Amino acid sequence: MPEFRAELRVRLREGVLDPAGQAVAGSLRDLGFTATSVGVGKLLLVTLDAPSREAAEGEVRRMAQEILVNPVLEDYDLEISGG
Amino acid sequence: MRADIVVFPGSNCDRDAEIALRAALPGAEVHRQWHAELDLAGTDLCFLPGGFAHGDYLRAGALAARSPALREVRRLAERGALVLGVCNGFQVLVEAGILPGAFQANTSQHFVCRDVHVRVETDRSPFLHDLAAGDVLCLPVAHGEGNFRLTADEYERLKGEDRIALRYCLPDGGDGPGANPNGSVMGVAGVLAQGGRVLGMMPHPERAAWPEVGRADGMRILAAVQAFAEGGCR
Repeated sequence: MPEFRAELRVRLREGVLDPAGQAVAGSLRDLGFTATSVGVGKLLLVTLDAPSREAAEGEVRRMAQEILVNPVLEDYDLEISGG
Repeated sequence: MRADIVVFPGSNCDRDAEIALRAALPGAEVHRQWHAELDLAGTDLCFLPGGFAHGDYLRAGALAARSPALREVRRLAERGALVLGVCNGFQVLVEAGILPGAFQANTSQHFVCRDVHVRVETDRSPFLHDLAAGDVLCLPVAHGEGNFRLTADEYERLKGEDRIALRYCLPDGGDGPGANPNGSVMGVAGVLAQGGRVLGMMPHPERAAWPEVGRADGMRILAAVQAFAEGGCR
């Protein structure tokens, strides 16, 4: 079965409090940078074997739903390569 | 002598440090200072305590390391005063580049909270001059990201410069399985800056300052600095 590589970018939804982002933005300002806001998210790189690109995408979306993403707080986008 | 403990938002070992330093350094002025109002003029020993400074956001110690407070600490170190970073304080010193290396999550993937044994590797530091190479101390650790990393070159350089301070070991001082609680390179538990006046260590000497609770080995490090600060071994 061909191997696919999924890049899952997870970020907090618009409007959800992001204390980590606020802390990083504060540090950037302390260092003299002009950052009005920072969002801290996660990048997950998943490799998997699947019969097709569609199957790989479906599998990773199920992973996102079941464990990788909290839909109450987070959004994600997904890029699949390889195959 | 004067000892100052820097309190960041998220520090949680600062009170233990204050109590232990008062006991270790009779007659010394010991203060906890909020990071935003830090005044280290006249400080002989600056203690960076454990905890989760600035939430440990981004990476453990990363934000505190780049805060104005650390510019003060760096200046203090440059004028030759003593700096002791314990646990999160060690992580902050490493992120600030005052000490070499980097930290990763424990290889066990578990937060580890237990007593460990460490072997003293050198006595060439004001923190260690009451000890001898080979001495074994029993001290508690409590950390999730204590896996200290050095490149092979950095490790050889530090070893050559006698800057490996402490190494995890078995109770008898030997090496062996189970000694290293977090996967640190070559079991390194503490390192020194050039000159030995800055020490970073993962185990908590301030939590081992009381024979009444069965742990007092931390005193052998904390109490040692008084002689230095008062001119005894300059």
